Amino acid sequence: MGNVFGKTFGLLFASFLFASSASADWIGKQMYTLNPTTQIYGPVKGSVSDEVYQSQVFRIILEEARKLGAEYLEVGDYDAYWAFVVGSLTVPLHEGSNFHFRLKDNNGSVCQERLNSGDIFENSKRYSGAFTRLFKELEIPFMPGCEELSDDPRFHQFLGGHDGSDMGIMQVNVYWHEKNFFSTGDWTSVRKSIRYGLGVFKQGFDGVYRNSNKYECVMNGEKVEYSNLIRAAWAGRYNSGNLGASCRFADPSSDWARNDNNFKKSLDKILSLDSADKRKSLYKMSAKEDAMLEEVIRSFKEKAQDSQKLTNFLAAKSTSNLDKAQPLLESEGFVAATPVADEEPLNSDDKNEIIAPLAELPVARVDFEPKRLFKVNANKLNFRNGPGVGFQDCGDLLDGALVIVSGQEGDWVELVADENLLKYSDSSCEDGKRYTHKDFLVDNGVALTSNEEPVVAPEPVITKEPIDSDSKEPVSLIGFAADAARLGAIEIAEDPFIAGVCINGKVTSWVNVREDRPLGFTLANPTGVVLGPPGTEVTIAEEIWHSKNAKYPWYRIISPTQGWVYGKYVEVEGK
Amino acid sequence: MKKLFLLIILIAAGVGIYLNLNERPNQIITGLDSSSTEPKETESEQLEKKSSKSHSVGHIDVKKHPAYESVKNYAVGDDALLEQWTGREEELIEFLSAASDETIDCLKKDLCGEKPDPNSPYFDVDNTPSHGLLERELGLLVRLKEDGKLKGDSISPEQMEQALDIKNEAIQSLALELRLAAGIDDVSFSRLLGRTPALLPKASAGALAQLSKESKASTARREELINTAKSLLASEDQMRAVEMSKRVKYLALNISELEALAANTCELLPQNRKVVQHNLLVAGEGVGADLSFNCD
Repeated sequence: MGNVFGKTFGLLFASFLFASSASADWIGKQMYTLNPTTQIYGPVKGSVSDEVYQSQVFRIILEEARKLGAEYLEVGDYDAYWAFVVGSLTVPLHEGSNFHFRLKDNNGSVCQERLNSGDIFENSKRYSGAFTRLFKELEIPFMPGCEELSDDPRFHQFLGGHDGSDMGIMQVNVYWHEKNFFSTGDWTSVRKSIRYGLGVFKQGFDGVYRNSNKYECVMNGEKVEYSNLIRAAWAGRYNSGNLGASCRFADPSSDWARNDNNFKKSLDKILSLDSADKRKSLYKMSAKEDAMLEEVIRSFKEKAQDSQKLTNFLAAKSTSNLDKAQPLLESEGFVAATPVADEEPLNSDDKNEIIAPLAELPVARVDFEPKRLFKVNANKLNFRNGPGVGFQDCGDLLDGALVIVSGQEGDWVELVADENLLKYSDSSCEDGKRYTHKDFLVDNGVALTSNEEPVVAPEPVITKEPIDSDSKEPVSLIGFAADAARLGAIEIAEDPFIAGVCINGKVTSWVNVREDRPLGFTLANPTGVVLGPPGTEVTIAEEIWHSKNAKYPWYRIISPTQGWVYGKYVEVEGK
Repeated sequence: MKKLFLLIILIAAGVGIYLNLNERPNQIITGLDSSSTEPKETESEQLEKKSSKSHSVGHIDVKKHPAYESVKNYAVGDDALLEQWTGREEELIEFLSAASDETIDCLKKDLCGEKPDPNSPYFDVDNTPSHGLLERELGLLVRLKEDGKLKGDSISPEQMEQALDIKNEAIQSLALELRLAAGIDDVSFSRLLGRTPALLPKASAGALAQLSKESKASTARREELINTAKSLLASEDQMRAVEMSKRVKYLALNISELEALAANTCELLPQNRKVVQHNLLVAGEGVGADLSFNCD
């Protein structure tokens, strides 16, 4: 992204990753050495076994690809989904060999002065300016001169490209992405780096896919050729910054044909991983991850029309340890600006740390036990005899009607067919279960016991292990999310709609509701809804600290409307 | 006769009060922006003010202004920067208005001097660092608006409409948000709606959602909005159709409006038809619709 990478470098990196650890440390020449007080998040190569490291990165990639590719799954477009997942595995492998941070002992020659000093950019004003602003001109620089680090026993190092300007696992360019990636601190998190890069890849993927009739290079007759779509998405938006260059890969005389050929080799490598032998030599991971990789490649090749195994794989394991704050290293010359919680991370008071969203995972079926009471928030809400718009319309619920919900399947919830529901039912509808879309229901804040008597809602309890697995003290999801977020951690949490662990707040002024949280400095579109007057109650399902520079979080609200509001304008109960 | 006249006045006043009281609860959800609760000026009044404002803005030397460095320095977050200017927001607004004016001009002129690097394939003509700077300037103005510090007449509607020419989704969305803060009448509503199909996909869809609120002012406006939504479904760039469908939930469509859109989905590429129709169907759930598409 913004790179000159991909000429030959990606493949060399790939060989680095997959080669035995005894291979020469030629990669060291491309590594920036970080100030030991720099708080980094996520897997660090060298701090765990290669197999564990690779498994963790693999999971993060799949989780982020799942979130970005959710829109394909929602409409059952599995071909596009599997292509996006395969592309998402290919890009970080090609760009940075799935490599972001590493831990390295100081043997006296590890720190590269030319990189850390910024001298590598001596002939480029644009790069030297951005590099200096981001990494040097700080109270405590992220990348001090090697001399200042010379007495430290170990270093965390950060991947740079061959000319130093592209950085990290996704090779994000320091000049083109200064504002929305580097200055927000996203580069300090492996997951956020993957997310940012895959977001750009998705722009290229969608840009071509949604207009496939205009891109001959991705069409095979009337059908989309998905391998070519992956190549187009990388060649265009990702490597050229320009959708118009998406078909560049199909032109052997292009100035950048070598980049495209090398990307194809990376894609071919990924596509070969349905072979156990290939995985063993090229992408060695723990057993479950290994099986999942095979499943992903097979699903893409065979155009599988479901993704349940992947969904279950992502839902089955807590990913806490993938994003944990790495302990700071011992340092002779520097004192950390902020204390870092390496033992009690959940109690960190650092409110300005970066954060990432809690993901909603598709769930085949979750039963609500106890059942829960919801209120209809729509003029006239359809309910059907199955979980989808294709099922028979069985009647309309009116605004404000109360319904009892017994479980959730994807975006649909199952309603208990009590007398109240029967009142609204169309008698011609076939017998059976009744479902409605969750977007039009508001949690009434009351859980029901099995005999459907209202009871006091239980205290929210998290069901995932906290980041620090030694800490067993239950905390609320919001509190946990916030604390995890302050550590830059990202937890795959349960859908708050399912978990029923929302909290209440009130707006303190008229406030715009936006479609999403910001991306870096970029505000999401307003939905057109303005909440107010001050005192209007809101139900909050999620809290996000979107940038290390932010003073307030963003809240995802689910009542009285759905969207995101800035924390500056919301007073949260109990805070 | 006099008594009858008085009676009519009393009835009219009573109906007015009743309607007013009954409209307020809606504001909780679909309510007006704090800025739009104030009396709206006509567009000609605003443009008049704009020309006098432009004159005063012309005196600001952007590069020598005390806010210049911190606005360019992204290590200073929006919150921190706004805090630095507490009590002097008007001065900051004046600066941001002048600075964004300059950035718009230089982007239009020559991308503020940005040129491709012959050694790199990468050149994102719509997301240069100067685009980032303009986005920061407009974003800060939006934040000031949300803090209630930016009044409708503090920014030039014409300048914001010029910013819509910049092919950058974030800039187009922010510019429209600021433009709407200045208030619109029927003429400017039609003009802005007319520009919607030419905006980039997410911005055009977002614009429709923003203008939806304004469209409730009259049946004619609403009809124009629905026609524009239909035109997005037929857009040459089918990303516009997809993005619009994702935001159809914000348009508060009734059944007949949804049906009108549904009837325009058959020409989309199969992969887009699938997602657009799905989104329309889900939106239809909330109004008791049972849409059919009849594309065969």
